[in-house]
Amino acid sequence: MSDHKPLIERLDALVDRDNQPDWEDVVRRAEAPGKTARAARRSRRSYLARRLVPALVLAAAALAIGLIAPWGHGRSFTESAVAERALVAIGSGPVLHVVLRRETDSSYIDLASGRERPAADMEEIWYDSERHFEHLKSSSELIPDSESHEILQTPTGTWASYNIDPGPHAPDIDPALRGFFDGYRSALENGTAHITGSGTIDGHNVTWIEFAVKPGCIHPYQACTERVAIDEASSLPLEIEWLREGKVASTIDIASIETLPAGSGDFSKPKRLPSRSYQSEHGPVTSITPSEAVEVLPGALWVGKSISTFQLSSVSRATLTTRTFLVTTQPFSMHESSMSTEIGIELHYGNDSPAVLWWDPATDEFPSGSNVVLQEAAKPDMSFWHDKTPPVGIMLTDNGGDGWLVKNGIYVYIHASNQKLLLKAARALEPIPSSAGTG
Amino acid sequence: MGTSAKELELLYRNRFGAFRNGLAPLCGSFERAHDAVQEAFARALREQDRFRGEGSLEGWVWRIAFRVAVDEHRDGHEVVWEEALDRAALPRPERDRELAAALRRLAPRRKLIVFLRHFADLSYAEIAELCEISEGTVAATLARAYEELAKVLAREGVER
Repeated sequence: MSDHKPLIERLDALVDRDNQPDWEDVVRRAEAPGKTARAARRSRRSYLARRLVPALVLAAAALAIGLIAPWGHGRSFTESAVAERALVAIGSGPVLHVVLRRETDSSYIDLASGRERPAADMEEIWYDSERHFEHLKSSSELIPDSESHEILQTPTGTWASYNIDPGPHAPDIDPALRGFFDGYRSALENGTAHITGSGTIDGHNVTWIEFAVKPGCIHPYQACTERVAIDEASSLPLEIEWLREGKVASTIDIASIETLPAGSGDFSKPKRLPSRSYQSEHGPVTSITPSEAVEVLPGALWVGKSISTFQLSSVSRATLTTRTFLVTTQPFSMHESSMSTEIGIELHYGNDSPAVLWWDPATDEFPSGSNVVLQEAAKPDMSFWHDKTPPVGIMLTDNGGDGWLVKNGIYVYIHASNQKLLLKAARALEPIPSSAGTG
Repeated sequence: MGTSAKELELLYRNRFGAFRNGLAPLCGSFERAHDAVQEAFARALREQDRFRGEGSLEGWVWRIAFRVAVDEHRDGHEVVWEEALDRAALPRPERDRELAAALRRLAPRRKLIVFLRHFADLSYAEIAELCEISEGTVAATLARAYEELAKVLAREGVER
């Protein structure tokens, strides 16, 4: 039984069953490649890419190595010193303990300065290379109140704080990290890690080193090389880049890293936790005036009678209701744990249609043109609010045209046609004056 | 190492539907996905000697199939993998508009793993091999995606 069984059933129902395999067609295509115009274009591009790109890369690399590489005729003193310090910093234990930071698509914008900071998912990993244990805890900056997700994998079984498919799953650490763990120290020790440059990451001066994860690796899809940014102050790695076919395939930011002695590390079994499910709905949407908006929601905000080229076209109110359910598995149960009711208002700038943004699954219509829409309430109701409440003066954004912020105790969701307009609207928010009018 | 045409044909006949469904979000329609599967297996057939047996045969063909699907969108422009995933969406959104809208909003990595699990019908181990991540990361990413989808659906699944 799954925590998200109804959702999973809906996903699985979307699979198309109308399948008609035709192996003879595959064989024909294999025997006559590039017979379509599209395929021909791809083929030409591939040919040029195969011929030109490696040649250019080789030429550039040869030039760069010839000009700047100090290790061209053996390992330099600088390289040896960096390697020695990095080896001491990382330690020699068989248990890796690392905290990784993976940026999400959301970010925080400081309204005063316009400065932006990406929100991140965090992963804390303990990996015992001798016992083949892996314990992974993940949490999200965007969902601070939810419990972290945990999974422990061992050769004899798997335990998780959430529902997973029946195990056991063989413990298998992220290959980029495994490559790092397996290859980093040996590359430093045997002198096959080379300095490839320097730079700055989050204000830290770093030295980039590069090493082969699998010497002699020729598989076209495997990551054969990793680049590691080493903090010049601590000699600890700050970032790992995983290179495939000469390009960066993935990047891992390292918040902290250490190795521990054999037998240590947190390999405790995670507790199974109930998950939460939410159900939100709103009552009938009623048109009101700006003055009435202040009456139903004291302190209500607007951006004036217009913003950019958009005039205030409608103001409306609705009653918002959210029910929270606790879901447990084995046996499956679902209990309502709380219910909240709020008055929400909406201000719509622009003449696109439909005039209100409250989503109606029956029509699936969103405002179709350029606009700015504000939705507000005195509490963070699930029907319009994000999981995370940003501090005052900060807007959480999805890097599109949606933003969430709190001002004067009012929770505001802003939908705008683009991010520039979104920031402009967020900065222009002010209390609706009593002189705003009644019509 | 290499593989044989017989093994590829067996894989094709057994897993055609999974490949077609799995590629459809990237290709934009089941019809284009059908074409991409045909092309992917044709390439695999031509390049069968390049299969080195370092992973599963299906994983190798999936990687080829992804490249074919992403290539289909290029039209002379550079399209990177993340962009292709960012645009990936349910090919027939009318079947479940709410869910289609919620899926569109998922981060590319979460979206890919949901598609691979539910559309391509791949196991955690197969997804881990294909995406070159651990099974634990697959499980955690899926759980996070379900949580996000459930919340978006709760937020938007409202009645007038």
